[in-house]
Amino acid sequence: MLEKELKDIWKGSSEIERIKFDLSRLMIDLNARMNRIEKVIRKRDFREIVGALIVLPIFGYLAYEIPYPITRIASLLTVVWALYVIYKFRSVQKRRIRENLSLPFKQQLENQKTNMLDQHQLLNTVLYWYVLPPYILNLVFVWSLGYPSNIEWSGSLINHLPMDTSNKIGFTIALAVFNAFIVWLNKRAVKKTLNPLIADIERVQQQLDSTD
Amino acid sequence: MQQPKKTFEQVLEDNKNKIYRICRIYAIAPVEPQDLFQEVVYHAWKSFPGFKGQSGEGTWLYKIALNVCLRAKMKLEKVDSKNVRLESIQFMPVQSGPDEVREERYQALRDCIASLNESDQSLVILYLEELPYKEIAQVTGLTENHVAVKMKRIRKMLFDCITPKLG
Repeated sequence: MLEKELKDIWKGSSEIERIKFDLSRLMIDLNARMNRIEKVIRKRDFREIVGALIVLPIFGYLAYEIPYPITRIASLLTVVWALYVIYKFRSVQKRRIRENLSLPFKQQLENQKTNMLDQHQLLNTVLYWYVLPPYILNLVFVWSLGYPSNIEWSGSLINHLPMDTSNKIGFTIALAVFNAFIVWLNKRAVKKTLNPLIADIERVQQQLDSTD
Repeated sequence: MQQPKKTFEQVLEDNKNKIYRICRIYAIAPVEPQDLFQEVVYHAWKSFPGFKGQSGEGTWLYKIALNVCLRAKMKLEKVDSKNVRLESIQFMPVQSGPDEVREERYQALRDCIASLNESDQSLVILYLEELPYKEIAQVTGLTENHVAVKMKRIRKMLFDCITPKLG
């Protein structure tokens, strides 16, 4: 008896509003929304690699322009690092499991978790692939400027680069602070956003698996 | 003989009330049931070309509705009402206005469902929708036996909670 009553209450709960579709416009609306969302995703994917794309011509030009051999090598290695970063972002974007919400609830949770763990891994290791390599290369770049001293260089860039020791020290400290900030931002995103979401997914998965 | 596949519009029209009931349960301010409903419609439309009909349109839609609503509840996906609004879907209050007693009883049921954990909530919703255990298993990805064991316990919890409230 109670069971039937509950089902009646439940079925009646949709009777507070009448839902009407304007079928002639629905498909246009849905297509417009999909295009809007895809545009946002394309922009986001592009934004992720734009930093590395900017680095390519700048350090390519520096390698061409600056005559000091170690500085040149550091510039070229920075270009290689930027290419690696683009490759890494692209492969993460490709690996991301495309959402398929018509999958069973349990499998959908598993897919969500896989994507979240991928993001977790990417952000949590940012120090080793995004921060330290260019930091070391930038230090090599800066500290090798002007060496060997027998190389004469009077290019227009010379006024914009830290050529003396005090400027080099300043640059080294500023870059270290900036990089520490990037690491902190990413660790914070992992701690404040990703960890709670992963924990939530795991909690629901445990609830589903349990028989208690 | 296999029946011809329905159009998306037909599927939507036939199942709109089911979707709305689920959205009403999962909507937590500032997200409105209407926002969730539109989100479900959008994802159903995107998945429709891949829907082959083996599992039945009801099962297919329940999967989408539950996945969308749970993602919104767990904040895995941000539901932005400005972004999801589809002008071609209109919600009009019924002219007679909501029956107060009925609404109170619904609120009592809603509170009891809310007191369950997320996994049990999804199962109890499917149970109230009168899905057989086999279909509940298909929607959730659990085995039929597992669903039966869980439902026995969840029904007891639900009945214990609602009986004093309904008087």
